[in-house]
Amino acid sequence: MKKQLIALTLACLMLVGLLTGCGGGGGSAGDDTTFSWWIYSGANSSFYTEYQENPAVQYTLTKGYGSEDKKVAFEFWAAAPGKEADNYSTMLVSGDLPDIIDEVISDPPPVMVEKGYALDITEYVERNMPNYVALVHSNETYLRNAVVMVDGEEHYYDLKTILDAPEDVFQGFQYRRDWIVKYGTNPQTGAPFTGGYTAENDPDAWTDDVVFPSGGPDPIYISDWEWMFEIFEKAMADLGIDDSYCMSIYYPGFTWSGGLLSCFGGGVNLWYQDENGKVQFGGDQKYFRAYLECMHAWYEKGWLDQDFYQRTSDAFYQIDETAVRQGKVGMFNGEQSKLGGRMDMNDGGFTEGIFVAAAPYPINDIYGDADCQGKAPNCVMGGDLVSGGVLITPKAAEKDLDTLCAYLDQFYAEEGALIKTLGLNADQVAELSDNTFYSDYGMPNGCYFVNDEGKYEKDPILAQDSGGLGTACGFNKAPGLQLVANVDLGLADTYQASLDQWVKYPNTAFFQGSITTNMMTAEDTQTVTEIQSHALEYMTNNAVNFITGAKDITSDDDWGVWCKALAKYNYQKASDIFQPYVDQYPFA
Amino acid sequence: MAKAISQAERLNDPKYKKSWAFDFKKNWALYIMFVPILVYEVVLHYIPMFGIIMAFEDYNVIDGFFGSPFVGLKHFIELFSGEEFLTALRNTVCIALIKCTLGFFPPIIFAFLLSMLRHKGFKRIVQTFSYLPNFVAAVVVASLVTQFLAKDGPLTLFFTLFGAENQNWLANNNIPVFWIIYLMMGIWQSVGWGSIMYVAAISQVSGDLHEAAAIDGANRLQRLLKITLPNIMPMVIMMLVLNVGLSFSTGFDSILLLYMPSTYNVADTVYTYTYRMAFSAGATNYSLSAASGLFQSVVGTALLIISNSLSRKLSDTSLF
Repeated sequence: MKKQLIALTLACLMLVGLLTGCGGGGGSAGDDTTFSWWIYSGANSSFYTEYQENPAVQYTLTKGYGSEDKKVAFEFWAAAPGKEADNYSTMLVSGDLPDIIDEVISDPPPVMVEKGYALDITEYVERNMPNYVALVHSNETYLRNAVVMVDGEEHYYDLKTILDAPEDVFQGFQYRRDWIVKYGTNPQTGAPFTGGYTAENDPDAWTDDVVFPSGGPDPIYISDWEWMFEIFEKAMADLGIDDSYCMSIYYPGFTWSGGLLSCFGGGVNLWYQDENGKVQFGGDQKYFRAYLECMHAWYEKGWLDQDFYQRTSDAFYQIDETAVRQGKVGMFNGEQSKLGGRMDMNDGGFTEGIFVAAAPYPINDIYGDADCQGKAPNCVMGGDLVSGGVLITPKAAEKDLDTLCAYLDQFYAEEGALIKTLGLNADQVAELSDNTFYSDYGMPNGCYFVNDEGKYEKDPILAQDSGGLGTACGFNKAPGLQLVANVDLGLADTYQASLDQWVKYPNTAFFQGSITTNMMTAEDTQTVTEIQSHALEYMTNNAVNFITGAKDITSDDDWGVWCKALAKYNYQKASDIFQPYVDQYPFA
Repeated sequence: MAKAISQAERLNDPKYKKSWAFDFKKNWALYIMFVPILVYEVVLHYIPMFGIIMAFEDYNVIDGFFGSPFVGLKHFIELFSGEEFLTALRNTVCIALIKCTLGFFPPIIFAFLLSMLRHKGFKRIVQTFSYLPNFVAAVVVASLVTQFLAKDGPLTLFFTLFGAENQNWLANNNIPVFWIIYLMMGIWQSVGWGSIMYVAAISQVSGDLHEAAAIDGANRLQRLLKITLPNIMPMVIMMLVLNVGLSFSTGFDSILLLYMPSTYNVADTVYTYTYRMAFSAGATNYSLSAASGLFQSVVGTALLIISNSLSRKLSDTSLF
C-alpha cells in the first residue's frame, strides 16, 4: 500500500507538472501602461545586456505622460542575432504577439491591419499626438508615407520614423586605401603614390595623391575596382597574407535589394522599375547575367572570397568579420565604424597603419554588351525621408493606448527627437543620477552640446567611436523625428567624404519597402511574396554555381535552364500585380 | 428474480477476472500512473493533429483553421511541381537508405565486439565512453563536424595527406559527400547507445550453447555466426523495422545545422524543407509546410506498417 501511495503521488505530480505547461501563455504584465515591444535587434552586449538598460530609455520612463500624467514601462523582446526573421515569423504564427512591433521586416502597415496583426490607431494618434500629426502634415512626402487614405479619410496604421533630411547610410563598400598608396602607382605617370596620416591618434587625419585609372581620386568604374584588386594582390603577397582575398561577397552571390547588382544596367534580380516606369523582373535578364559573369571572372582570378557561399550566417555588411578586422581583406561591405583608421589595432599586425575609404557603387565598363555598360547604379540604399516605424498590435487594445501615444509623441518634438537621435544632454544625465552609463564612458556632460553654429554636436568621444557607443546612447528603436539637418556629427572631412560616396547615386528603381508596396492589399502582398520566396530560393541555391563555375555562365544552355526554372514561378504575375501600384504610388 | 451473487462468487467468476473492472481494482496504481502519459499523448500528439487541415487551406493565423479558405489539394500539387521538394524527397530517400543499410550494422558489430571482451573492467569503460556522444547536443556535434571538416580542419588536412583536395567538405555539393558525412556523424554519435539493446540480447544467449560449441571445436567467429546471431535475430529485425519506420524522419536538427544554400541540392530533406517553408525569412508558407509534413508522416507510417508486416511474415517477429 505504501508503494502504491508513492506511485499515486508521483503520478499526480507528473500530471500537475504536465498541465502547468498548458495554456496561460506566461501571463500578462498586469499593468495597462506596461507594454511589450519587439525590436529587430537587441542591445549591444558591450554596453548593456537588455535594451531596457539603455539610459535614454530609462530617462524617458521617469516622466509621466498623458492627461493623467501616467508613467509607462516596456519589456523589450529581441531575437538572437541572425534569427530575427525566424523569431518574427514564429511570433506571428504562434499568435504570441507583443504590444508593439518594430516594422523593419513586417508586411506593409495596411496589410498588417487587414490581417489583424496591427490596429488602426487613428483615434489615439489624433487625440494624443499633436507633434506627430503636425509633422506628418508639414511635408507631402511625410504625408504620403505616414497616412493611409480610406474612403477619403486619413488613417494612421503605424507610427513612422521621420527624417528632417536624408541621412547617411550606415554601410557600404569600403577598401584599404593605405594599400593603394603603399603598393600602387599612378596609372598615368607610373609614379608611386604618396600619402599617410597627418596627425597621430586621429583616425581621419589622412591625405594622399591617389589617382584611379578613371582619372579621379575615387573609384568610379568596374575597371577601377579591378585595378585595385591587382594592387591588393601585391599587398597580400608582400605581407605574406595567404589565407585571404581581395573582396568579400554576400553568400548567395548577390544582395537582391540592389547595390552591386544594379551596376550592370537593368536593376536587381527581382522586381524593379525601369526608366519608363515599367516593372521588370531582373532574374533572367542579360544585366544579371553580366553581373554573374563579372563575379565569375573575379572568382576565377582569386579576387573573390573562395568560400563566400559558406558564410551563410554573416550579415551582408559584416561578412567574414574576423578577416576584415584583422586587416586581411582589401575590399568589403562594412559599417561606418570601420572607416578611416578605426580598425587599427596598433599591435603590429595587418591593421597597422590602415586607412579605409568608402567606394561608391561602380559603373560597369567591362562585362556584358553595350546595354549593360555605362549605366549608373539605380537600386541603392539611402535617401529616404521616412524610414520604418512601429505598429501597435491588437494585444494592446485593452491597454492604455492614450498614454502610450502621448509618450511616443515626445519623440516627434525636438527634445524627444534629440533623445532618440543622440541620447541625453548634460541636464538629463544629471537628472538620471542613478545611471552611471555616461560617466562610465567618459561623457558626464552627455552625448552632445550646442556648438557655435547653433547645431547639436556630438561629443568627441562618440565622433571617434567605432564600437557602437553612439547607438547605445540614443533611443533609436523609438519611432520619432530623426534629426539630421541640425546635427553636427563632428565628422572629419575625410570621413564625411567617404559617407558621401555611398549616396552618390540616387535610388530610382528599387521600389520594394517603399510607399509603392506599402499600399498593396494583403492578397496582392501574399501572392507576390509567395512568388518571390520561391524565385529567391531558387536563385539563392543556384546563382553560386555560375560564380564558382560549377555551371557555365557563358553557356546559353545553362542560362536557359536557369531562365526556364525561374519562369516556372510565374514571376510575370507578380510584375502585373506590382505595375498598377508603381503607376499609382510612385516611390521616387 | 435475479439471483444475488455474493462477493466471493463474483471474485471467483472467470468472466469477472478477465474484465477491465477487475484489472483496474487489482492494478489501480498502474492505471493512475498511466494517466499523465495519456494526457500527454492526447494533448500534445492527438489534438495537434487537427492542424493537418492547414494543408488543405490557404491558412493564415488571423482567420485560423475555420476561417482560412479551403483550397483542396492545391498545396500538394504545388509541392510536387516544385523542384526543391522533389530534390528534398530524393535526398531524404537516399539518406534513409544509407542509414538503414550502412548505418544499421555498426551498433551490432560493436555489440559483438563488446561481447567478446574478456576483461570486464575494460569492457565497462569502453561501453561508458561509447555512450557519451549520444548525450552531446546536436548543435555541439554539428559544430565539431564543421570544425573538423573545414578547409583547415584536422580531418581535412589528414585527408589531404592521401591526395584529397583541400576543401571545406561540408560545402561540397557532390553526391554522396554530404550523405557520407552525415552517416559517419550519426554512427559516431549513436554506435554506443544503439548497441545497448544488442549487448543486452547477447547477454541473454545461453552460455551452455557456447560451451558446447567450443567443445565441438567451433571457433569464436563460428560461434558468433551460428549461435549469437541467430539468437539475437528477433531483436535485430525489430530494430530494423523501427529504423525503416523512422527513416523518413531522417535527421532534422543536424542537417539544419550542417547544410547551407549551396548544398541544398544534396542536403535538403523533407523535414528541413518543411521547416524552411514554415519559418524562413520571407517564405512563411504554413500550408505548404503542413502539406509537406503530412506527406512525410503518411509515408513514414506506411513504411512502418509495411516493414512490420514484412518482418512478421519473414521472421515471425513484429512490433504490433
